[in-house]
Order: sequence, then C-alpha cells, then structure tokens
Amino acid sequence: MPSVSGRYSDGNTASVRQVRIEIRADGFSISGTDGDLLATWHFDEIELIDDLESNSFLTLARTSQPGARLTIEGAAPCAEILAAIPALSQRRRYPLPSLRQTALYAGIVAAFAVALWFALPKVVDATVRLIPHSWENRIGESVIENVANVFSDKTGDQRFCSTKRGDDALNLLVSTLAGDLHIDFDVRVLDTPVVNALAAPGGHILLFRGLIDQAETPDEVAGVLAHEMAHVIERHATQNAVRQLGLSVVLRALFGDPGMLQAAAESAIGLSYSRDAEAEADRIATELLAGAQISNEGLVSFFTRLAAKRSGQEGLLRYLSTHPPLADRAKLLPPSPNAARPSMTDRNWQRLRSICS
Amino acid sequence: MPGDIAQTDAYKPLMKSHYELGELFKIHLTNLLFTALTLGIYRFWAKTRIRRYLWSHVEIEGDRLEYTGTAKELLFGFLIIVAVLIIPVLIVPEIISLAAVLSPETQSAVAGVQGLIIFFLIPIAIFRARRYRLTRTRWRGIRGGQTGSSLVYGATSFFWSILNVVTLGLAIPYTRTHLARYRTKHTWFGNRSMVLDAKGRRLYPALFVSFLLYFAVLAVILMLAAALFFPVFQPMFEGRTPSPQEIILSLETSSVQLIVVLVSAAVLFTLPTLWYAATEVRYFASCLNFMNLEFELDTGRWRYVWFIWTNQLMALLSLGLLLPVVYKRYVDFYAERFRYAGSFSERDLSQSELGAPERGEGLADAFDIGGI
Repeated sequence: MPSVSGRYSDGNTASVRQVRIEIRADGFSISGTDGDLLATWHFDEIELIDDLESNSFLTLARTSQPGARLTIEGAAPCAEILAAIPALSQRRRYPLPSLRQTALYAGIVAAFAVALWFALPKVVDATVRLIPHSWENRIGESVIENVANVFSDKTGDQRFCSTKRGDDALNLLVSTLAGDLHIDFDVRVLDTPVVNALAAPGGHILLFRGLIDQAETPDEVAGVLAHEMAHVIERHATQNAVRQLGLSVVLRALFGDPGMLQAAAESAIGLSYSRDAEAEADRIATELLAGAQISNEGLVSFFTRLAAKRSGQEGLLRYLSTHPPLADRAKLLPPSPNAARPSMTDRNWQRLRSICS
Repeated sequence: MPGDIAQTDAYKPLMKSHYELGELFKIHLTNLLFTALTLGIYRFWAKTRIRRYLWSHVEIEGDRLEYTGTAKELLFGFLIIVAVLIIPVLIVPEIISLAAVLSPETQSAVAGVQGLIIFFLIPIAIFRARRYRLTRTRWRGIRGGQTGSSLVYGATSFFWSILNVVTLGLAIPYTRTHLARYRTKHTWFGNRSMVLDAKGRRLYPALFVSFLLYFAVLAVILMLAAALFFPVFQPMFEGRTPSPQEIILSLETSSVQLIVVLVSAAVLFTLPTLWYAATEVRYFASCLNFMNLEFELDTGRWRYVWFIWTNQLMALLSLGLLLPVVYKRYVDFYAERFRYAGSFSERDLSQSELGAPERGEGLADAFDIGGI
C-alpha cells in the first residue's frame, strides 16, 4: 500500500501530529508515528480546503468530522493524493465561481448596463413629462432661493436687482427671443459680481450682475440669455434632477452609502450628460437668436473672452467641467445670419446696465 | 510534554508570510475587472477570493490560516441591509424630500438624522464584521469567535465619541482603551478568550505629543495658505472682512493653489493621529494576553507612522490599484515585528462552541468600511 506523510489535527484541540497516510482502495488510514490508528477517512467524505503552491501543499477536510484537517506538503506526496482522488479539485468545501461563469455573468450585467445607458435619456424624458408644472415651479423657486443665498450677502428681495425701466428692457429682450413660444420665462438679475447665469426648473432664469457688467455689447447678454432659455425649453434642469436622483437610488442599492469611487462614478455619468445638454443649448440658442434676427457673434465673443481669461484653468479642469471647453464652444457655433439687427436699443442697454443701481 | 511549545524567554515572530506580489496582483486585477463589469456586484466574490489568499498564506507555528467564508454569505448579508436600512433610511427620505419640496431647514434636519443613524451604526458594523471574520477563521481546524453585544459596543462608541468632542479630545486615551478592552475580551480563539490589560492613563504622554504635533501642522498649513492666498487675505490685512463674493472671485482664479493647500492639509493632518496610533498599537501589543503568552510589537514610532502613512497614500493615490503591495507590506511588517514569548499547551486549546452568524458584513459593506 502506498503511503505519504502529513500533518493531522482532529478538530477537537489545536494539537497537531505527524502522521502516515496509507492510501487504500476506498480511503486513507491515518496513523501516528508510533503506529496507532488515529482515523480512517473514506474518499467520499473528503473535501478540499486549499491547494497552494501549484499543488505542492494540500489541506483536506472530512465532512463527518468537523474541524479535522489533514495537510500534505511536497510535490510528490500531493501528486499521490490527487491521483488517489481524481475528483478532488471539484470537491472544494467553499467553491468560488469559475472564471468562465464570472465572465458570462459580467457580460450579461455589462450588456444590461449599456442598454440602460442608452435608455436612460428616454426614461428620464418620460419621467419629466409626468411631472406637473406647479411641482417643477416649486423646485425651481427653492433652487433660486438657495443660489441667491449663497451668492448675495443681502436678504429677501434686496438680493435681486429691479428697476421699472431695467425690467422692461429685460422683458422686451426675453419676448423678442421667445418669439411665438408659449413658455413662461421668469428672468431675474442677482446682485453679485460673480460672472454667471443659470436656468432652474420651471422656467426660472438667473442672470448674475457680474455678467451684465462684464458684457461689452447687448448681444453678448442676449446670447447668454438665449442659451439659458434653451435650457428652459428643453427642461434640462428638471431632467438633470430626475437623472441624479435615479442614479443615486440605483448606485445606493448596488453599493450602499456611496463611497468616494461611487460618488466619482455618479458625477462622471452626470457630467457626460451635462456637456451634451450644454451643446444642445448652444445649438437652440443660435436658433432663437436667428429667429429674432439677432447675431450670435455676441455669444461667440463672450465665450472667447471668458476662455482667454481662464486659459490657465481650462487645461487642468477640462475633463471635470460640466460645460464643454469655452474655446471649443466658440468654434462650434455656426455663423450668424446676414440680416442681423441689434438685440436692444442703446437706451434699453443703458437701462439694463443700471438695473442694480 | 510532547506537542508543547518550548518555554523560552526570547520573543519570536508569531507569523510567517508567504505572500507573493505576482499572485496577489493576479487575483486583485481580475477582481477589479469583474467588479467594474458587474457594476460592483462581483465585489462579494472578489473579497472572498482575496481573503482566501490572504488567510491561507499566513503561517502560524507551521500551519496556515484558513478562511471559510463564502461570497453568498456576504451577498445575502448586504441584501438584508439594503432592505432594512438603505431603502427605508437613505433612499425613501431622499425621494420624499425632493418630491415634497421640503424647506431647506427640514431637509437639513432629515440629513442630520440620517447622519446620526449612520454615525451610530458604523461601530456596530465594525463589531459585527469582526464577528463574521473571526468565526470564518480557522487554524488547525480550530475556529475563532466573538461574544459581546454589537449594540452595547455601538452605544458605548456613540457616547464616547460625544464625550471626546465635549472634552476636546482629552478623553481619547480612556475611551479608546475601554473600547479596545471590550473588543479584546470578547475575542475568542477556540475555547479561550483574550485579555487586554491596558490602562488609558498610560497613553496621555502620547496624546500631548500628538496635540503639539497638531498645532505645529496647523501653523504650517496656515502659513502655506497665507502665502498662496495672499489676495484673499489682503482685505483682512487692511482691517476689513472680505465679502463672500470676494472670496468666491479669488478662489475662482486660484484653484491650483486651493488644491495644493487642501492636499497638504489632508496629508499632514494625519501625522498627529498616526503618532498617537503608533504609541497605542505598541502599548496594546505589550498588554495583550492569550493563554499566558506575551506579545510585543517591535517597532519605533516614526517607523510605524511612516509605514501606515505610505500604505494609506499608496492605496489612495493608486485608487486601490496597488492594494496588493499594501497587503504584502502589512503582513510582512507584522510577520517581522509582532512577536510572542511563553508557551501554552496545544491540548488546552480546544474547539470553539460559540455560535456563528449565518450571513456577514452587510452593514460594514454598506458603509464601505469593510477594509479587506
């Protein structure tokens, strides 16, 4: 009878013994170095715990003797054991899925994810259409409220600039751009030196005073305003909120409380949609301007000037930005129609510029 | 007596490491690939695969450790937590607060309550994950276990954290030692539990050194910020407070400086904590007792600080890609420096009769505090 040496512990105490394992026709006889029989393991009840160092280290267990372990070291003894129980490598106590199983499963999930990626805009679109306007309006109000609190150190209505003549000039520009669209635009000027503008759900648009101050021509303000109105027309802000909520629910169900990587995944997905939305808004803004026979050169020159001013940051933050690079945007805009007229009269432009004084 | 470990006065290493970087990377990289492809669901199998390797390549007294946990146990543990915690406590309030357009005050109140619940649950998650791992660890067929209550541990941690805040950190040596004693006395291997004979007051010198380090780091960061952000602070030197708009405008044009300051702060502010941790881990090792064996962690404080600091930086900067190097460094460090002295009768260490949970680590996984 062939035999190999190994180490045996019986599962009751931590003592370990050097043993001889005699390989019989139907199992192992395990006896101590002094010759006394310690246990008889039948092949059917032997399971594999570990096979390490390319099968020159085996740990075996026995189903009917919990905690008992048999360890065999060395290439030759291990080969003898494996030859005695050919099915051993399939008889793992704690099997892990094979690489093939895993790849198949990963493929299915990846296909599902790709499908979801393409379906997501449609799902978001359908959901947005279900949201009543009053609800959207309330969300927009609270967004405007929060933004105003962050960027202005005044309180209440003081945060927004308003004069009778300035409001009239602004509203005239809005209705010129809107043409025959039946959408309620609520455009307000926020009293802050920061150069920015935003569109919140429900048709609310904020122009920051800094933007009007920095604009060199009324066409530049008209261009940015048209861009924000395009966001309103396409309901981008509402879509964005619905998408972010949906993504965070899905990612939380997958990961739990989002850690750093999950948060990064969430914002990466959000950013890619956001840049598409910006490009779309640029395109529609050009249409609005064309409809009102206003040149889009203002939009182009404003972006170009901002790009020059921020040239230091563009390179570093390019891929983290919610907007496409400014210089690219200026290049992408189509040339304006020939029959362009000024977006507002000189008098109205002066009235808008002094809306905060 | 045959089978007994010989009595010597000298300390000798407890563990032997058989980790190989090539093998570890093979497992780790396929794990990352499949975890990404399956949108994270594979991570339960990934964890189990890497733990099998990490456990089975540590040798103690000639025999390897054994990890007996399964991916299914981790998966079901997580699913239960999604059902009883993630959905009702984290997802539902988020939908409600957006749908009902709650006022900013109510929204912050909801977020505050959520934060408190999570804060309370984190130590519970840690304690429960410990129990799972101990019951899934075997050596010579004998398995580990954990007694004690995760709720008691969680509540104690919660109140100790409040006490630490109220006392500005002065209670830290007491509270941390108390929790470590609780964890240790409820840690079992086979039929034996461990003892940590540590006194919190012995750690006060280290606490004061780390306070001094903290103020030194603070001074360095403030000087760096003042140098890089001179325009932002200029109004203050002129004797007036800058308005929020001015701050936003200056920050807009100096994002690189901001990143430099934030990164240096994040890196340097770990130093005081690590200094304290180094003193604590050495002291606790010397206070540990299992079956009358004595232990020591033979490392200088700065060596330990450097060791943990580089490990964390490596794991973070590589976004987890270099974790195998971290695992290997970690186990090699302890294999070389964690030593024991004394002898015990192997026959007195018999099989554990403590219960073992059927599923594991759901909470720890949900809060991303699983470690390995």
